[in-house]
Amino acid sequence: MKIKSLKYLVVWIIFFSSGAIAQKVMDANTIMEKMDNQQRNVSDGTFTQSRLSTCRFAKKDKKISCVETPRIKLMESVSKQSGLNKKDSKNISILLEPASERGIGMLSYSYDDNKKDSESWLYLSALGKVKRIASGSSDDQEPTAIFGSEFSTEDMESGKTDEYRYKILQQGLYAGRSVWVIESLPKPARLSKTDYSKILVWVDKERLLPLKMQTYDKRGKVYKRLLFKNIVNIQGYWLARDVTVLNLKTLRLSNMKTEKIALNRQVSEQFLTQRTLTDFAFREKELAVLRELVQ
Amino acid sequence: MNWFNKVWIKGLLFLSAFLNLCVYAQENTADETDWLLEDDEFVIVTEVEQSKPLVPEFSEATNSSPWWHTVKTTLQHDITKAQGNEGVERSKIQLDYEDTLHSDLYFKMQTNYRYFSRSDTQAIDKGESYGRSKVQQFWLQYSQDQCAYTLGRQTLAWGEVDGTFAVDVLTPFDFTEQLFTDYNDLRVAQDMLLVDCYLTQKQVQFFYIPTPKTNVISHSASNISVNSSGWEELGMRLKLTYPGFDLSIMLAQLYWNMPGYIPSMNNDDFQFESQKFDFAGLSASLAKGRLLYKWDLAYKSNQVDVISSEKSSTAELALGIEYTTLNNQKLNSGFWQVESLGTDGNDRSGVFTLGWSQQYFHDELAMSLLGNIYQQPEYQNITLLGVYKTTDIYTFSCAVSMANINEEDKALMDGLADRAVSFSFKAEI
Repeated sequence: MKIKSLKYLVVWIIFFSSGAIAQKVMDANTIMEKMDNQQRNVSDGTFTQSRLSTCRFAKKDKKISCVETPRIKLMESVSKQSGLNKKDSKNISILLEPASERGIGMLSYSYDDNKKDSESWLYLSALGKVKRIASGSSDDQEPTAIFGSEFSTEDMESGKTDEYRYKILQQGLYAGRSVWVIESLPKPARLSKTDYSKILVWVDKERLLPLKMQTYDKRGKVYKRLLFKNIVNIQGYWLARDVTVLNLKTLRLSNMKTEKIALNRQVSEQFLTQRTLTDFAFREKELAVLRELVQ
Repeated sequence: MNWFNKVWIKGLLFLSAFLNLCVYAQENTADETDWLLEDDEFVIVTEVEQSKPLVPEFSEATNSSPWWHTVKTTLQHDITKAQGNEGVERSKIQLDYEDTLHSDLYFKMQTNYRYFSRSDTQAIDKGESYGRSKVQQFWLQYSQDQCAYTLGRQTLAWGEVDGTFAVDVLTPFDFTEQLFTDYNDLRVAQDMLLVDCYLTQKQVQFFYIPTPKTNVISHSASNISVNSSGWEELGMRLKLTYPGFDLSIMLAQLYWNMPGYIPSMNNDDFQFESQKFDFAGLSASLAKGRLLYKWDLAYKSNQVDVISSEKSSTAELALGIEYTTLNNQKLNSGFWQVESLGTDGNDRSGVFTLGWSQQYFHDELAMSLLGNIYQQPEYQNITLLGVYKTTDIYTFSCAVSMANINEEDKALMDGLADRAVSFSFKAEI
């Protein structure tokens, strides 16, 4: 009986050991996929008014603050998910400030299929002309800064969870919230199109969104730190209305405040076409409806 | 006991103990990962609003804003020093206003007053310094169902290949302007009615200009008359959009207002020659990866040759290619050829362009280089331009140009200097 019990114990230990490891890997993947899925849902039929501020910063008395007048951009954006599993996206953004860039509009379609070219059109108010931009497929893109800020396209993208390996490094309380700290390592296919060798993500267990991210450069040194604040629940979705990225190499920071947001709105297909870039009366009529629904 | 002594059992137990240790180590590497749960060692004060915001709050910047928040004021001063040629020295104040007047109505206005100092080429031409006001945009747009109707002074650009005029002939370049400083001013705006109808993947556009403006050379036309009675321009464009591909077909009845003119005698008076002509055009752009291929093809009847002053129909082809590198450098190249379909045999002239641009220092500095090779008149020039935004308000531009002029007929090269340096300072609030 003893021997039989021992036999079961051995088998159980082996099963538990391998199972525990498998579960850890799966859990990290599942967490990241769920978080990514939530991010995509937040972008479906969404209207935002955002303020993007960028400045050089300095640290003094445990405080980090701007040491110059920040560059500020105000913009309105409308986005919609489409395609299979809503992994494709359409987005239009219009700059309101600064005055020198007022009226610039960008329409872009991006596809989950890595081989399919993204499509972008730019409306420059000074030229009065819609211009197609060739930006290649997501397989063929390197991260670029968004409007000259410290946010890069890589910091904002979703739907690429299969390009990373994930591992839970730690769990416990961070900033009063129960979190997983997950390490993301780019797979070889991703390495050529990322600035980061590693990303650590502090994921709020209950709300399934990041509270903090830390990225490392190709030499393994801390590169950027992203902090997510003013977390609110809108229509069942948790989102951070205040995101700051600190570039620890350039000592510049960018802060994105979502000042107003409307989720899950009906956005007509025609609104996400070139018409919106040049038919201002149509654009403003559609935006006026969305502006009234903001929170 | 014999069972427990079996080698494979020992091996399995060892393996399981090892795996469990791995898991334990992963979960409890206290020294290595505990820092991950520490609070951040600093507080971020990103409240940039601590300093007075340079821009209005959103509630002010959108619907509920007072009208003056949608006004933009621009102050600008331009200087060009040219070797062996007249330069540019002028100042400008410009007001821009645009807003929704009603749920279906949108209004835009852009007007400026410019002062040309004594050393400016336009003032030299006129014989004295002077001021001049200009309304560049003044239109009302009404949008209903699938169509938008825009009435008033506006600019309209056709064609895909930048810097060529095979198809881009409706609101022509204004050669009284300094070319590099402000695209807003670069075109001669026309008073027109524009109708745009948007269907799925299609855009149909009609325009009507009752009295086209054609003098793109000078402000002072006191000694030269242009007979403009009974003029009108009209035309249409059909634009089709497919994944990665745009195609436009254009037809129009226009007046000749391309760069260049010929003096002609009419009752012992010089006057600009401006001929009515029929226009048919085809434009396309194809995005393939990071490459953008562009084509403009045009047929124009009754065109005046700048060199020979003879009239003939022309076929024009412009080809362009743009490439964006992985680190966001933009390279472009274009070729524009005009072929005269005259009875005395075909006469060809062409322009080849090569350009590069890149943004530095977080988009604060934009550098670009543009080279042109002209076959007729024969010259080559190259321009290096830097635009530096010191803040969201102030912009400083500097351009250096060099030209190698081989053309023997110097009259055709009027206004082009061997070397020139230009500066521009602009404040926009």
